Amino acid sequence: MSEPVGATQGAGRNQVLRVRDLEIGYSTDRGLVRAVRGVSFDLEDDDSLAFIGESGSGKTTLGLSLVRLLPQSASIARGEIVFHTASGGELDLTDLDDETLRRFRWRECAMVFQSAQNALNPVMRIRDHFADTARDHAETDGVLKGRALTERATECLQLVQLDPDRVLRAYPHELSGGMRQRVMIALGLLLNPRVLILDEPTTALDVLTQRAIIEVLRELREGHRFAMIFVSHDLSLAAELADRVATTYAGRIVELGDVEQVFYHPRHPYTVGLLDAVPTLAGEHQELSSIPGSPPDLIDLPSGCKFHPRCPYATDKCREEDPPLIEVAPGQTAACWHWEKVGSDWEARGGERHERDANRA
Amino acid sequence: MSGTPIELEHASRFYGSGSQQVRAVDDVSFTIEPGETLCLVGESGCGKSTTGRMMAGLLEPSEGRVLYGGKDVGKLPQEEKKRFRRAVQIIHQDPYASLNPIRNVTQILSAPLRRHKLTKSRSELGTKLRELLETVGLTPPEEFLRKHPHELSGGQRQRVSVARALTVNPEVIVADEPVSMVDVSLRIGLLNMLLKLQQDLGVAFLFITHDLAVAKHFSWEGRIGVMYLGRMVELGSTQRLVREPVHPYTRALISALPEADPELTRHKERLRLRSPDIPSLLNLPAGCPFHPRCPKYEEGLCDTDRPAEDAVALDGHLAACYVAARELGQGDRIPESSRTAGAEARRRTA
Amino acid sequence: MASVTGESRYRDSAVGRFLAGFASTLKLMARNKVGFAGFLVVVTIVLVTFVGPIFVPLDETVRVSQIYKTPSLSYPLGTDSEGKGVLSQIIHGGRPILTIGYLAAVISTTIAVTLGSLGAFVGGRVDTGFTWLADMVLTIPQLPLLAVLAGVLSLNNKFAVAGLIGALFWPTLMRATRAQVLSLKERDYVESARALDLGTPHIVFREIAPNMAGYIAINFTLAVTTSMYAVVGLTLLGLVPLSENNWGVMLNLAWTRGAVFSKDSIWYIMAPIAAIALHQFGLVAMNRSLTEVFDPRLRRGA
Repeated sequence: MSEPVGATQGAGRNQVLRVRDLEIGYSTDRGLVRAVRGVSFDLEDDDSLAFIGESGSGKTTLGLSLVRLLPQSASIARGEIVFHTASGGELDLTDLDDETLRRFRWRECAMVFQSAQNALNPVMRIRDHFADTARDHAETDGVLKGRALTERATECLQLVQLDPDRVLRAYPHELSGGMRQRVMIALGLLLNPRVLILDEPTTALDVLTQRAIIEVLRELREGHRFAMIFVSHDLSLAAELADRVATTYAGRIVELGDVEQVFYHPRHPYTVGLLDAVPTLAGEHQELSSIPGSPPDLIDLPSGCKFHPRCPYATDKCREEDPPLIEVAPGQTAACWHWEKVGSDWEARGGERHERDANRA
Repeated sequence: MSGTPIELEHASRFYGSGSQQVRAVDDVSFTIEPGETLCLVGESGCGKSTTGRMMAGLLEPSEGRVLYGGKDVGKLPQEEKKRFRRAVQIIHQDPYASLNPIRNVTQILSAPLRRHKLTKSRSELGTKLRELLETVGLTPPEEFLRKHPHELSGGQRQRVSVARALTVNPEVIVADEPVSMVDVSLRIGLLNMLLKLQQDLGVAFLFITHDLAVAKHFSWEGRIGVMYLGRMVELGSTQRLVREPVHPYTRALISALPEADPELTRHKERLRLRSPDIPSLLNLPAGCPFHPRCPKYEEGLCDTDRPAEDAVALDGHLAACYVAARELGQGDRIPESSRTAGAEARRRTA
Repeated sequence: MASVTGESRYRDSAVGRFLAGFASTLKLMARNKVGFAGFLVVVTIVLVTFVGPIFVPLDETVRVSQIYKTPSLSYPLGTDSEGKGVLSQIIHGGRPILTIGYLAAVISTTIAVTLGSLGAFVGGRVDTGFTWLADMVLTIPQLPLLAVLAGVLSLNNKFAVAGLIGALFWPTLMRATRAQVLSLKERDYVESARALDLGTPHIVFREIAPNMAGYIAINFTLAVTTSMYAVVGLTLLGLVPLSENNWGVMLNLAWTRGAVFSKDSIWYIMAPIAAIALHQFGLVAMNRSLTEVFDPRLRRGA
């Protein structure tokens, strides 16, 4: 697969993560589930990248592989995941011994899991959760503990806009779902990771709570403290928080670009389909359409382009050959043989967008 | 389809008793007119699902009444009660729990048809089943008749649920978050199918959702009711409610909702809440339940009396907020006690 | 549409429907190899013990010269302390044990399912009463009680023994059934059935009961094994009359006649143990198939 565009360029930005041609499968009774197929991307140290996709698009597996927390039944068949550590070294996650891996997690890269608000141990105070995390990922030169730990925990909780005095003493059940979710984010920040991965960070939370989490993440992002990777089915979360967006379908990236490019000038029919399927609150009533068909079976994938059975642009070529990511604009790639047609059709419908713009003003 | 309005009249539903009593729904009134769409919007625990179940006759109100064609459902004679029962059907949120896993589509759909003798012969039953599946967009129907729920996708299961509700020719369908657990790319297809049902069959919908954007899309010509902690805080036509919300809670919801448009969502005007945390139903604040979080809170005025559902009433658009009532020149609708308490508090601070 | 009319032709005759149902059930059983093997083992044992005695006479000749012989062509499982063939005893000795085991399981399962579902459905005092009763029975140490009762009552009747075991072994399943019904009756599809006014019989027998059938069937097989162990145990202890020849009596005799202390008697002792163990293994293995028969979600590639 070709090098993704927009990699390692510009001054003052350092690459923290390089993923190349990653291939992950789950073995099941029915056969091999091809959850991630040939994914490549780069992440800079102040980047915020969102993976958008539906259930079965492989986005959660991808997230888990970046911290090597894949379930037993999964295996990395091919590819590399290389972290550039703070000390300037390189770590290939695909071959790392347990000890290095343990130190790597949380120090270099932390993850906030889906429905994380239920992941806290109900019989432990929040303070003990912080102590545990610090101990589990201790460096050889000592554990963060005592006053230093309290100070760092206080700092992290303040970052997520929680009252440290109250929260540190509390048991999980004494906090609301939104507060617990923020505690999980604060735990992720504890050891100052260079990358924070968030899997569906706002799903299952109420609108006002969701807003509070988004504001916290936005402030963290604007502080350029670390790189972020979001994994979500929610387009609006990406619109809020991402610098770059990767649309995923059937285990691979089908479109990757800056958030404005992907939302305003999509070149892959799946991205277009998603954008057409999401209602907005602002403006007049829109005609919305859904993508026909259902997401594919990852065990028995269609030939050629995996989206072709649902795609209005599909031709014989699509049925035979899976398109590579093609550069469609500087910094934007799309895996579609007909991206030019998709693009011109979208821009021709631009009237709609202008209308929306007008409504917004 | 025959039309009979269904009304909730000061309906409440309580759980537990004594100090542990929870008022899941507290004094809610509205009417569903034949063929109309009303969306109930609110966050988890606001009582929207309980309200829907009372409307469907699946829960009895602890206080207040459900009226079917103006008559109290609790006092209807057996036959009419059965007619009411069938007139309101429900579609659930979870496509994985709403269909019995061991019954196939034919069994699921033919049970109500047989029970109520809606088809006379086996061939008529077959025709009806195919017709129903086509109506909900499961084509070709032959492909689905023998399938069990686990062989269908989430979207397809929801369509079977809709077909099951349609077997008894309902007048109202209570749809409780029918699309929230369905994949994004399939949601709109399901919503559009429901909209088409409404146009073709004239079924009224009580559509329950947490997502204002979905409510707006589904009920553009209809109404939206916003619920908060068991109460209806605003009720009015969708277009007006979305464009000019009156209640601060509705405004907060609208300003908080992220949109799938980077420019729009990043530059949206945000309403700052005074507190991010929702009070417990067990320990509700006095006066307006939203006052501890409300950016427009005024001491005395907001925490003395609970605002009536129609504290603001503008051509059928209702909102339960005294501050808005005063600002919109309807100060005379504020009770004496709140007015004096508010005035006193203002004088003290001044 | 052809498939639907094809199916309805079967429905016209009860026999046809039964045969079709039986054939498709067998087909489903055969999907799981271990389960099907278990099923075959159980069927074989039941056939041998119930039909076998017609063809194989019970060997009652005492042969002093043939005591504790190892297997040979004329005595495939060797001989006992009196030189009688063990195989014929095994063939004849299964029926009483199996009869009591299955009968006791039917009784305890019936009590459990009836009380459990009734309690969960009706609720209130009925439910409290049944649960209390179950807790009472559960706290009684069962084997000692059985022993005492067997001593007091004259248990010379198979049905009395089965009844006694059945009456003691139901509470665990009853509580499980109750919990299942409580959870099933809150399911969304049950609520839909209420909204569609499908009636209580439909809800109980069409929506709820079939969802528990697999669970109940599996618990039934477990109840069979437990009851068999109980009756064998009672017989071994000599608390049930020894008039008949059965696997339990064989073990009791092995014990009382000192066979357990003799190296030569290993075949005699092992034969009934193996027969019982094989049957229990068959039942447990069969459960794998049963889960697939009752749950369409597990029918892979259906």
